[in-house]
Amino acid sequence: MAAEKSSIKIITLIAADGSVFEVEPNIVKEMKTVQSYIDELDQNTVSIPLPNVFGNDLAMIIEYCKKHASEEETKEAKEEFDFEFVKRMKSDDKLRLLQAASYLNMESFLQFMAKAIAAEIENQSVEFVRDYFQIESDFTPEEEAELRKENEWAFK
Amino acid sequence: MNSSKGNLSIEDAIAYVTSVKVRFQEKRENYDQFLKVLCDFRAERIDARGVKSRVNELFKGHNDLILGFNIFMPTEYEIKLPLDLDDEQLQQGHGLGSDDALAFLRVVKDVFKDEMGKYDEFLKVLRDFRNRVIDRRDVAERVKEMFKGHLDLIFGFNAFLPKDYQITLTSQLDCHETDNCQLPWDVLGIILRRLDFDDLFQFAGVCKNWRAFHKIYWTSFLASQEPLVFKKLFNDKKSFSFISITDQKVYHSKTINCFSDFAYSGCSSGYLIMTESRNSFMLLNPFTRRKKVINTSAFQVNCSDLAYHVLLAFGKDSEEFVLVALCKNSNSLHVYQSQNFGWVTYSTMGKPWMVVDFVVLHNTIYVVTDKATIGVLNLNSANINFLQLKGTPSVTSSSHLRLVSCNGQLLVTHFKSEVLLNVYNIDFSTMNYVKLETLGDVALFYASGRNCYALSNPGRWGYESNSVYVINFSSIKCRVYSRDDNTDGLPVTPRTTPYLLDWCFRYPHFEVDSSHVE
Repeated sequence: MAAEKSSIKIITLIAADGSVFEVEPNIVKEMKTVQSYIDELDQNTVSIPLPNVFGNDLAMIIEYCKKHASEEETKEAKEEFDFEFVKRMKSDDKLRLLQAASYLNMESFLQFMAKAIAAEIENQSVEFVRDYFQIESDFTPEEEAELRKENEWAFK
Repeated sequence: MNSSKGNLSIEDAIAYVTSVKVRFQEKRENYDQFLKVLCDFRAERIDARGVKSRVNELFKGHNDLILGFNIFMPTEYEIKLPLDLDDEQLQQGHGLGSDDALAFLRVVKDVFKDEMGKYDEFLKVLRDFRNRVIDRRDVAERVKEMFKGHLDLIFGFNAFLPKDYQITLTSQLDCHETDNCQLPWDVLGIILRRLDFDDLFQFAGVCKNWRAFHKIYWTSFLASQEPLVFKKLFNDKKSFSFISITDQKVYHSKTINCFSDFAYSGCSSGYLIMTESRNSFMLLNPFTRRKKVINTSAFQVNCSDLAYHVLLAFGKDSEEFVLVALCKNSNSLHVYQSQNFGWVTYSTMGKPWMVVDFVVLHNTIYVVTDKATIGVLNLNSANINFLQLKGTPSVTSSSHLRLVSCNGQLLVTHFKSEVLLNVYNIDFSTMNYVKLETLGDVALFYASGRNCYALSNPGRWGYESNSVYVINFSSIKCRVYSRDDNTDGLPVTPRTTPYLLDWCFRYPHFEVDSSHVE
């Protein structure tokens, strides 16, 4: 990456828990939030705190970005990677990564996570979705009853 | 890092940054700017004074956020309200003035206007503190408990406390309790876009916030999808789906599929109109999930697909409706009015003309006959009152005439198979058929042999002006006809299993005058 237009060689990302990641500029290309800082700078090394992303998650995101930024990997290999990447995650991992993607403003990774989450809540009950997103119902019993009626009513 | 407070916890920072993000959901650039200020400050690229002016500007009108920002500031540079204090005063370490305290009390009072007990309790805490009944640490503890779920108030109150006693939020949970671990709406929207109709409705039942979002999402989704293409599959796995040409996406619904054994006749006012073997008509709105069943004894209901040409209109501001059903085999014209639960069959037998289409304009149902005569369907007397029009075009037996209501005008379209020959506007002031040379900023949508619809300003939905989009039942593809150049445009769907396509317009939502209905 030596003689690129940009003089920045190494970017240091500091996660919320203080863990530090050193990456090459092409890895953070998709992170618009990070990119907007880099663009303004004219230094060899940049250190960027990311107070909304935890180290474990950042490690996974970087892994994803590395795979997808690589020019040697085939399209099939990337798809295979995506498949395995999602497979080894639990639902709360996915939610955290989704939020991280949103915070880092990573368009395609955000879409990727949203797709993975949508696939899991597809054809599921309201209770399942609440459980999945760890949301407690804030409807009153009356409102709940009304909602049930509405859904029962659907085409009945 | 000497420029920021030593006791700043990650949780505080996250909680605060999250609240900024939520506040500026609609103004992402402010949030981005804020992050930049934060980074610049921590990297010591700008000093405390510079931060102060940038934060003030960025958060203008959000005093709680301005005060909240103090968690990042060294004590001697804490931002104080009101903000017109000059730097000198700030550096002398002036605390918040009595004006600020009063302003903050007003905010608290407003937040707890439905829980006045809490406001009184807050005042008591302040009194106890002044009277030295409790110390600062107690104040922080009690206020934290009291303001649970009101992050802004906690940050606001912190501004009045010396740094060692400021309320710290110990975990992300404290923050999540405030908004039920909510994802921002833009992220929810990205997930929603990938779900099918049924899932979307499940989504709305999760919690109030999602319900509110679903409502907005669904409304804007539908508004961006005019028209959808309705598709009914005929293989052994009979199913309905909706194709969005705009999104190039197919939407399914299991709930609608329960009705795939029903015969489909058409779509009107956003309802799918079907017939079933128990001699009834069924009206199904997949967008509002409403269903109406009309049990019929007046005549034998034909239960094959496309047996009827239909129109559904509602009474003004009421749930009452009128269903017009023209049987294509027998040419008999049946009209159902929900108000009197009754079918009326119009006397069209033995007449030298046949009704071929109908539409609602200005709360009146207009009909057109195969002879291009136009009449008004009288809902009270089972009669058609024909208009005396000049310039009625001559038509042949292979002509298809369709009525379209468009921008308050009554258009008559003349098709021959799928080709649009002419479009006329009925000029009611001169009672004339007026031939149109151009459709102007309008696109027509025609399902061959069935209904024709108009969309004005079609560019808004990705369609061309002055064009005709035709669904052809025999070849099953969408084509674009421009009256100028007759070019094909839309992608051709390869036909693997037999299916039926139709335009599904939710609008116009036809309304008839209640005086006609009664």
